[in-house]
This record gives sequence, C-alpha cells and structure tokens, in this order.
Amino acid sequence: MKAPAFIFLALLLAAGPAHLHARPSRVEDPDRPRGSSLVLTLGIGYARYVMPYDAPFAIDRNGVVASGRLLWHPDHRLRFGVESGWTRFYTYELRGVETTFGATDASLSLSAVPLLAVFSMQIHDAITLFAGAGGYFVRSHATSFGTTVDVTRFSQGWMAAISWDYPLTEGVGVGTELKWYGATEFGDGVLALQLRVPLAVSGW
Amino acid sequence: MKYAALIFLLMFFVACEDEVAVPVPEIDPDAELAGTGALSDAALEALEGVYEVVDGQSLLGREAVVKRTGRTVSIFTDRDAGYCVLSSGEADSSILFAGYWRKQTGTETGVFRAQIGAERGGRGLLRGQRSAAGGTIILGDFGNATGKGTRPIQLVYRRPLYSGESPFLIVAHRAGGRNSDQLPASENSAELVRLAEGFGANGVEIDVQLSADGVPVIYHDADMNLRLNEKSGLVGSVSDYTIAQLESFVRLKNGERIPTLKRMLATILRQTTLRFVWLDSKASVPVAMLREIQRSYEDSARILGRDLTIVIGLPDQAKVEELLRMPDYRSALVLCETDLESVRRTDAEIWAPRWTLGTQNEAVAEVQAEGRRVITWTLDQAEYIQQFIRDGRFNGILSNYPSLVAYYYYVQ
Repeated sequence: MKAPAFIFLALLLAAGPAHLHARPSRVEDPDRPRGSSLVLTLGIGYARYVMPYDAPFAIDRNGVVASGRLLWHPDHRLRFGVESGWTRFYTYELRGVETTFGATDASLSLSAVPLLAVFSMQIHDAITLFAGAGGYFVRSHATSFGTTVDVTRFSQGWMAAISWDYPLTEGVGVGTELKWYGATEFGDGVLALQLRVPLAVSGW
Repeated sequence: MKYAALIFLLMFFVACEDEVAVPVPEIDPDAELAGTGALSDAALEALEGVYEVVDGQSLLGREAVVKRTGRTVSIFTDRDAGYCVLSSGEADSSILFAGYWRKQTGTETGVFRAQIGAERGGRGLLRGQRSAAGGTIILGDFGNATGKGTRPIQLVYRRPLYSGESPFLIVAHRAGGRNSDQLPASENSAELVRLAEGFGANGVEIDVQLSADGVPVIYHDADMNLRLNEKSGLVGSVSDYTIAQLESFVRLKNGERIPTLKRMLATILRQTTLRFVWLDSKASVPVAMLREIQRSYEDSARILGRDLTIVIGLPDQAKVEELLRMPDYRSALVLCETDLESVRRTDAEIWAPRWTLGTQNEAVAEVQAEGRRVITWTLDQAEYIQQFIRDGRFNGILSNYPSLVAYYYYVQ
C-alpha cells in the first residue's frame, strides 16, 4: 500500500506546476493580494474500518475520528504541513475463549494516532485534495482473564482526503472531508467522513 | 492530471489483494487405505531407495528418492523442490500408498496414489527384504488438487540410499519451512513440526522468545506481524503479552496458537521421530532458562528411549557471554553460530556458520577433529545445496527446503 500513496503524491506534485499560481487560498479573500498563511483545520466525524478482517467473530468497524491539520498556504495552490489526531480502527468482544488456562472473556480495541506530512492542492474553488505520508502510533488495548494491557507500536502509513469548504468569514470556514487513514504495517485502514473547520491562524 | 489523480484514488479503493493459499488436496489417506494393515518398520525401511522414474517425469524428474519419513513415506525430487507425502498400508501382499504431491517452488499440488504389487516386489518388501535393482516397481497415478487429470507413475528401484559415516542432519528451518512457501501449517507451529519429517527433515530449528510472564514461546520476528499471524489487533512483540493473552487473541497464519517451547518439545518428543532440535534463542529468552528446559526434555527423551538431541543456539556474542556466565555452562549442549574461538570457549557441540561463508572445508575438518559437528545455514537454492553436499564436509544443513537437501544427499 505504500506505493499507491507515493504515486498519488507524485500525481499531485506533477499536477501542481501548471496551476501553482492560479488561485488564492480558499479561506482567504480572493480579492486580497496574495500572501502566505497558516491554516489550522480541525475535524471530527465518523470512521469506518474498511480493511478485511477474516475471523470467526464479528468486529465493530464503527468509530470516531478527530484530526488537526496545520498547513502552510503559500501564494500558490500547493500547500504542505502536518496532521495528527486520533481514530479508532475497530473493537471486538469475545465470550468464552478457550485457552490452555481455561475459558475467558476477552475484548480488544485498536486505535491510532496519525503523524503525517501532508500535501494539498485546491482543485476547485471549494474542493481540495490531500495526500500524506508518515505513520501511525497504533495502540492495542486488550483485556483477557481480567487483565488489561496497552501496547503501542509505530506503523508506516499514509492518508488521502478530499474536502469541500464554505467560507464563513475571512479566516474561518466550514466544510466536510472524506478521508482515508491507512496504517500499512498492520493492514489497518479507515474511511472517515468529517465535519471540518478551517481556521486561518496567521497570515503575512 | 487532477482527474487522473481522482481515478487513481478510486482504483485504489476498489482494488483488493488476494493471498495465495495452497491447501493440501482433498484426499483422505485413512479412507483410501481402509482395510489395509500397517507396514512393519522392516518393510518401510526395505522400500527406501533411489528409483528411476519411468512414467511421471513431469512430476518427479528422472530419478526420485523414496524414504520412510516417520509415520509416512515420502518421495523427493530435484524438480521444482517437489515431494510427495504418502500414507501406506498392506493388503494381499501388496503395498498401497495414498497422499499428496507438492512443488514447493510454486503452488502446484495434487493427489498421488500408488502401489507395489505382490509380484512387483511387494511380497519381498513386506518380509523386510530389500530388492535388487529393478526388483521393486511402484505403479500409480497423480492428479491435480481435485483428483482430476490423472497421469501415470512408474518408479523402478535402482539402488539404496546414500548413507555417510555418521547420520546427516537435515534441519528444517522454523519447524518445517516458511509461511511464504504456503505450507499446510504455519511456520514455528506445533502443527508444522508434525509434518516436517514428511518434507525430508530429521531435525528442526525453532525460534524461542519470552512472553511477558516469562514463558518461552515459539515466534520468529521481533514484533508480531501479518506475515506470521492472522490479524488480531495486538501490536508489539510477544514479550509485551502474557501467554494467556497471546492464547486469547493471537492465531498464527493458518489458525494455530503460538506454541510454548514446552508444548513444541512435547510434540516433537511424542508425535515425531525427529532426532535434532535447534533452539534459536532470541534476545529476550535467558540461556539459563533454556538450559533447564533442555535438561528436562533430554531426561524425558531418555525415559522414552528416544534419540533426541536438543541444542541451544547462540546466535551472537551476547548469548555466548551469557552462557559463559553460567557456572555449569559446559553441561549444556550448545550450537554456536559465531567464530571458532567462541565455539571452543563454549565447548559447543555444534558450530553453525552461515552458508555464504562457503564450504570452509579446512575449518570444518579442524572443528570435526575436535569431536564437534558442523551445520551450515540457511541453504535454500538447489544448486548450492547440491554443491555443499558434493564439495562440503558438513554434518548437516539447515534449509527451508528439506526435501531438496534430502534428495541431493540420498542420491549421492
């Protein structure tokens, strides 16, 4: 899965030069002279674990995703920055698991904190594409035989997203974002739909 | 270009990845051989030999090795690292075989049925008499995984198997082979170790790590991953979890539990005739703990009258020094993978240099003259296996393809 992420990123970069100076940033006033700004985007929404999970039991694929993204909006459309947040991948509960120590109830929750370098490009007045590479701090929270253990490991990963925004004021917008978070090491990934709020936190 | 990016993204989401699986063909040897009697040890040993392949060269090449492998009979060939694993039975002075064949360099597999008629050597073999060249003829057929498309097999006995001065160790890597070869059971599982003899091994190497509550378990990689186990939601290493937690959540690639070292050794001891176990000790597991378990299973083997050697692998200098800090380290049978000086300091039973260092005949002879054995690892390519057996002086080879090692060793 790493290769598609990089190819996608390469396509974005390849598409970039023809439009680099085409339009100003969305949350800025289109009539204002072009300049740089830092835009913080906060998002929260629903995440659905969409990767295969072959097991003789059902997992709960529904979860919550929250994210924060800080992007530098220069005087052209290719932007970059960092993204983090939190997402649940999946949870499951098992009753009466047979082990050599007897039967036990067991439960597990898998979640992740992404840490990604993100590139983005506005492809339409209100629509922006995002692609990011980096990784995820994936955390297992597992309970069996009445004992809980938490273990976190880093996994390489990537993200891709598309957003639609509507400006409320000069520095604040609101919109939605459809996003893919993928942790490649463990074959985990969610498709998320978020409500997002872009905030221009500084400009020059 | 932006539309190309969108289309690409869409293609990614609809694409899927299929894992290759090579299940054992649907054949039930017990049903096929119902009503037959078990072959005696003498009969099983008498049918061993190098056979000329008259029919079935597409499967077995021009020459094949027929070898008793524990409770099964196997046929080994150099063609595509192929092998057949067969159950056997006797009826009306004939010997019947049923099982499956597999080409390990690919995913081809299928059913295999054959017999040695009473007048084609069966009667003599059942009396434990080895036949002369041409005196035993195996006739049968092989098909694909569903049993269809059968093609004839005819093997004619030509000569006995090669046997050196001392038993040659054919050691199967990771209890029988790697998951990447789509074996019927997961690597480093108790289920695979039961099959290892059928692949030609007379010994196994297993990877020992320590669970969070101090139980030695068998797992190869530092961290749990999808190459070795099914998706479970547990991240981290086996050392992050207790054995109870591992059993509750983790299943190996083919659905097995991660075995404890004790369970693995008990399986080897009671359910196989393997005679050599190499405990590849990973960093987390103390050598002293391995020594205690080694001692316990050596005693069990002695009580059961089993010829079983268990050696503790010392993969690096840290493990060498750890062993040397033990007051009674000379009482432990160890296999040292490092330099000759460490082999002598630890008084290792076995020196195990990596195969890329070459045959090293002079050094090997020097170590053997000290009463030690030498096993090279991990030799997988057919031409090198052949070369190391032909030109080298090793006492054994560790391989993911024990069937190839068996073939090249026994046809000498």
